[in-house]
Amino acid sequence: MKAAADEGSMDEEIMEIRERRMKEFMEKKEFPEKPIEVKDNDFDETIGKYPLVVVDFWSVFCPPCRLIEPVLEELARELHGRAVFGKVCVDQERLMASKFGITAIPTLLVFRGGKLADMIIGYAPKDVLLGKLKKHLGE
Amino acid sequence: MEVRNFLKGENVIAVVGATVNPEKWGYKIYKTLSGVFPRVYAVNPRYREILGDKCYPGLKSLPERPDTVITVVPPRVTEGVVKACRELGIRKVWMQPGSESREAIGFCDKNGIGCMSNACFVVDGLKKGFMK
Repeated sequence: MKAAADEGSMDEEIMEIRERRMKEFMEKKEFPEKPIEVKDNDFDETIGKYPLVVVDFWSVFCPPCRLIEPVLEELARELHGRAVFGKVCVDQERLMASKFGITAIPTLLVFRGGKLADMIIGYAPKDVLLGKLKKHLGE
Repeated sequence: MEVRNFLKGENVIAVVGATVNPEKWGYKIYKTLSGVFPRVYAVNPRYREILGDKCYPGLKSLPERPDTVITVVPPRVTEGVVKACRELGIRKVWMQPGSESREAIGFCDKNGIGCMSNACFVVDGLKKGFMK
């Protein structure tokens, strides 16, 4: 009798785990694996859509911006499901750059729950960026 | 060093490599900063005047000591600029990408000069609103 009860609760537990994993999988599927282009008019929507969003303000005329680009692509893949990376080209999109007082590029703005949580200015290698993002990833 | 320390409103700024050529960064940076900060000096031995402002031949000839020096010159020139900064007691140097060199950065590190070399000013097409 007891064994049957144990089996029943185990089944429930397994079902719960399955459901949770399925939910996590579906959520992860919705996270882009590459940095997404963000414009002034969809900026608020983007930063509010995911729990952690890192937005890169960049320009085609800026050599350090080109250096950081592949680093962010790698991080977007590695942190898939945990963080979303966006890119705002300040040559065209000036409103948000002005709103956040961007004076140098590349600048990464980190949004947690839609709120500004951090600002990282200038090119940095992957390990340095990852180190700075860790606290926002809950590590 | 925080980027905001380089660009505080009260800072005296010298743009080494300021130029009269509107296509060059030395022009864009000087034009933008001089429109925003009250005390910005153009430094370039080639010119006497840039945008109607007096242009100085070197850091030593400026009427006051800058808080921040921005270099928009070839790396070997920057290496001389950072040495002049040490002599004059200037503690912040922003090397516009392309003007930096390992030697110049190393010299700043060794001599306690705050150095920024991994970011560009937002100047092209962007106006005063950015330089708060």
